[in-house]
Amino acid sequence: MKVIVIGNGVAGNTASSTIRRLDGQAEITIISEEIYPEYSPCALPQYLAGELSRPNVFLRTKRDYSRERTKTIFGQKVTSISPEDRRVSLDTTSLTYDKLIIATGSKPVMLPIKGTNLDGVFPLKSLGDADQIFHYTGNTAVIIGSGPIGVETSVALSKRGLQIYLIEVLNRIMPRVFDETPSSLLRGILEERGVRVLTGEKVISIVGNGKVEGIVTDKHRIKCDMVVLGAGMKPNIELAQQSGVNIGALGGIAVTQQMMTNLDNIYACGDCVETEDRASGEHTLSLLWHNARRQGEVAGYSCSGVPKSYLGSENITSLDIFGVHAVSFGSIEADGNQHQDIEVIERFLGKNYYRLIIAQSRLIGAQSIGNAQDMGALLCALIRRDNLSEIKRAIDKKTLPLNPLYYRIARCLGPNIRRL
Amino acid sequence: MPKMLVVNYDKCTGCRLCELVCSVKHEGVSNPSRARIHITKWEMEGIMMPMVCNQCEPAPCIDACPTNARSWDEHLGRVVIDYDRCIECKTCVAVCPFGAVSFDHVAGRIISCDLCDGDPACVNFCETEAIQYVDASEINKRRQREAAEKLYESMRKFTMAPAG
Ligand SMILES: Cc1cc2nc3c(=O)[nH]c(=O)nc-3n(C[C@H](O)[C@H](O)[C@H](O)COP(=O)(O)OP(=O)(O)OC[C@H]3O[C@@H](n4cnc5c(N)ncnc54)[C@H](O)[C@@H]3O)c2cc1C
Repeated sequence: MKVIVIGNGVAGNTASSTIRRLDGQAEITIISEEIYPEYSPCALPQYLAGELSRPNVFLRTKRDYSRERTKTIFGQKVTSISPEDRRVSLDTTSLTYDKLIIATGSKPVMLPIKGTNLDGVFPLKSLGDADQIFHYTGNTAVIIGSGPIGVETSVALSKRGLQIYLIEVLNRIMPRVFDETPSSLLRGILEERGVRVLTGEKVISIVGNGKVEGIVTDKHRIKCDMVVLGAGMKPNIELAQQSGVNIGALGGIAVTQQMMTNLDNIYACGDCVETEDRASGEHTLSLLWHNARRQGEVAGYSCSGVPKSYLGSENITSLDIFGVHAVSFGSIEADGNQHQDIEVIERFLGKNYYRLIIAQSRLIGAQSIGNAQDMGALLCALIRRDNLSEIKRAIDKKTLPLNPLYYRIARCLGPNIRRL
Repeated sequence: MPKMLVVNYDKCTGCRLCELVCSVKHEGVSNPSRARIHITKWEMEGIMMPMVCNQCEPAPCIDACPTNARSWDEHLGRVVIDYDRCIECKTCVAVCPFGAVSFDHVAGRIISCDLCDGDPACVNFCETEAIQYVDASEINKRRQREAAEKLYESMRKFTMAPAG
């Protein structure tokens, strides 16, 4: 069996390793337009902060691929796929396959504003981006967009001594991950450390003569030496789309639970696909590491003729903001379905904050700032779509955290329920 | 065969010696907040529960780690952490169903039970043998589950009014 994997991220590598485990004979080739062996994009902010050395960003060495007898073609882009003759074309050559796995990941959303082509404007997606930011000199950086990556980048560059402006068009930071109260707690932590946070403010253009000199918003002009675009990621699907692979309503590749596309012998996994959210049952673009990895595993199994099912994506955000742990699972109140009666349980306990979002007696989301050691048990309840009326009674009676009932939930569910 | 920790909740008196010896063994100081095992108490109901890493396989913490810093050690049947790779995103802390992964604020690193490399101090010091280190056989795993079931039943009595 000749397998070609397009994409050298966690999805592609997990798929390839899974196939190798199941099939010693398969001829596997991983293609990536980047030149590096596998690394973790999630570690890039820590690399930028100077907390993690560059070599530790890598997850594999070239040797690891050869040990697994996986061929690599790095530094070449796949330009087209022709499903009829099972062939992919690269910049300089073309190859045939029996099975193809598309794991092309995601790419930064580009803002429709002037000046993004100036020197000193960077997205943060790849190691190449991080290297450029790392070596760029300047004193002031503007981060446009306050999603988790924008916030992590602000923290990282602030730790490196830069003055940071974090700009968000909506009225709070991380608006898709945290509701008002936890979001403003996090904003407070950033501001305490000197990060200037501007919300409800829209960047109109980036200005400069060849090189960034500042930005203009609908309220301010800010001088800066660098701009990092943190407006989010979107599935990288052009290649698949041009080859006749079906795209879903949210803009990700449409796949079955076995990670099969509409075309024979073509599978897809990772940030480039859209899936179902395991807790809500709704379609989602998850764009998260753990989901990409599991999808890669399922794709690998499917490719090898072992049917496994992907049970859905888990929306888990966990980040450290200047030593404060912020966690969000599932849905937030603000994006709750209007037709549902949403109930919110909120607790401040010392320095810790908890927020549970409940709809129709089910936990549909949980957020915490500070201690998160009880969150895992809640995650189990969320994924299982457990009825919470009993649990709620216990919550009312006892205080979070350390409610043994949660642990009991977790213990009886066991970790296995979270697997494919 | 690798061995596992088994907790018998009925036998735990809540003396917290396990927390102390754990922190002494790993961090060289007697400080329960830096221990990898924690006693959860419900004083009124007399429930004492040592919470410690279950060494799950597959483990949610390994599954969710975005830098492959957590991995499975076949030899000792435990989850291990590579501090060179850890970025302290604390996802493992958040997803552990047992609340058994924590961040040690003094040392500035993630900690969870490492079975003391095969000679767990908490077991050696537990006077009532509430924590035992036994073969990770199916029988012992089942016993562990049954203990949890029993605990649940006793908790139900206290926490839940009869339906209706
Ligand atoms: C800064 C940052 C921090 C993050 N932090 C977290 C976090 O803390 N937790 C979390 O869960 N997630 C985090 N994420 C998201 C996580 O990194 C992604 O979900 C995950 O890496 C997706 O993996 P993937 O394999 O699907 O795709 P990608 O990692 O995007 O890999 C895609 C691969 O495809 C290749 N490729 C694409 N098109 C072509 C082509 N035409 N020809 C050849 N090769 C091609 C690319 O070169 C690349 O190798 C973060 C992301 C970033 C950028």
